[in-house]
Amino acid sequence: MHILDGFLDLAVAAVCALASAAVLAYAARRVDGELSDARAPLLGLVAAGIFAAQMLDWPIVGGTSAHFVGGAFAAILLGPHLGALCVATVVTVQALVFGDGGVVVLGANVFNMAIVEVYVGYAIYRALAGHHEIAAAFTAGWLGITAGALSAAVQLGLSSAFAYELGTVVLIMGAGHLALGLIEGAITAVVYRAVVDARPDVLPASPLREVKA
Amino acid sequence: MVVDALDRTVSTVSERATAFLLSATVPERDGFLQAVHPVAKLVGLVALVVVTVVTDDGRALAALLGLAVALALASRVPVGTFAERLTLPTLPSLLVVAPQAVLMDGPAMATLQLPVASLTVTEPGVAYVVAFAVRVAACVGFLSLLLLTTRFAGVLAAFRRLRAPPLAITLIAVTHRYLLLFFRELTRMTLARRSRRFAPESLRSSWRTSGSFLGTFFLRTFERGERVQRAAAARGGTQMRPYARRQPVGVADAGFAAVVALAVVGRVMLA
Repeated sequence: MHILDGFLDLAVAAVCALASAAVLAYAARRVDGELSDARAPLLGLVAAGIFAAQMLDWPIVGGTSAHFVGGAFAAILLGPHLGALCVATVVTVQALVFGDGGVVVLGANVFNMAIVEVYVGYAIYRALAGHHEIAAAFTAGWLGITAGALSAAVQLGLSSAFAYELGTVVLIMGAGHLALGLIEGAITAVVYRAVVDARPDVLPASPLREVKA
Repeated sequence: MVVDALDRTVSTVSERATAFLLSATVPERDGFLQAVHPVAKLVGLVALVVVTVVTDDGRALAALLGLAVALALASRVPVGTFAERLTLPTLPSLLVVAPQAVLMDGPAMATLQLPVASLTVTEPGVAYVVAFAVRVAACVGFLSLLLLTTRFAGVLAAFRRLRAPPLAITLIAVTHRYLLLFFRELTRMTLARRSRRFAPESLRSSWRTSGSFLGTFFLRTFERGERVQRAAAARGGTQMRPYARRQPVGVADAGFAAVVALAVVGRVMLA
């Protein structure tokens, strides 16, 4: 889902960069009490872990594979604001070290993957976790990545540099990620289950887990 | 011993990422861009990317791509490395926009006879596809020049000099510092997993064990993060106090500034 330089108009990229900067500044202010100078390493290390985990291929039927993005999982593990800062760090390091995604469009990539995917994923998880936690993690991963892709599609569709019509891009990317997102949802759910089984204390409290305990 | 997609990918990715992170020797070479101050280089190359993004003319885009190649050669960037960096993202981009060669209206260039229909390749369509691919290649080229000719610490120092938020720089620095460690951790975990599995698994079972694998990896990451956080707190925090490394403005800086100014002025005159 990384957009490269040259795909977006400068105006679209600038608006996305401003929006990303505003949301991340808000997130940093909201977690100001938690994110002290000494707590930054925890977030940085989790970002490095998500970065490494993103590069793994998961087996799918017929010898094909897909990879984990982890925006919704970061939101569930760390909360939405720390999750957004964490994934924004991952996206920035990917651009500045490995050249994944561009530099002028960095704000757009951060907006799609670290803001839309994280906050939408977290909202869905919060809405459903009271009913069934694993299903909530699955839906958060699935619809979170779909929302991120739709956001990218709108940015591309609004850019004259990318000649396809807005409706066409939204339809293709939305439908594609609605299907591919099922895999992201499934990975989010199995990883979530493994973490809940091993160390439920690292995840935010859930009424269902308290009842089971 | 059973090897599945997760095992294979961990080995491949870890090896490639480790090689990538450890083989950053190009910034040490005695080349043109290596001599340019990181702040000037960051600002100049981003300005060149912006100029490229706002350019539509095919010849101007080709000139900008030529400039990226010339800067790479002057900076003694290995040709194979630069070519790989250019082509890997550009080819998929070309495939994405290729249908526009037949979708755009305009004078016909050629007609493709397919079993079900005939497609007319138009001049404006081909011009758009070529210009798009060249634009993406030039942008990727300029970004690659920044990454290949600057140590990561230099990039961070440049952001710091440009007054980027200190928290963002700390997070990026910590993430980069621990990447190699986590790739090695993944390799160790994969080796342990591989040496304990002897029978092939069903897809369902493979997913369950892969979930546990990744869950365990995240927990190790989290626990290591907590340890590092406590250690940082014990030392008084992680606030970076960069030492002032003076790099006087030299001929390379002036030359690079002239190249960037020429590209910007050329673009303005073209408009």
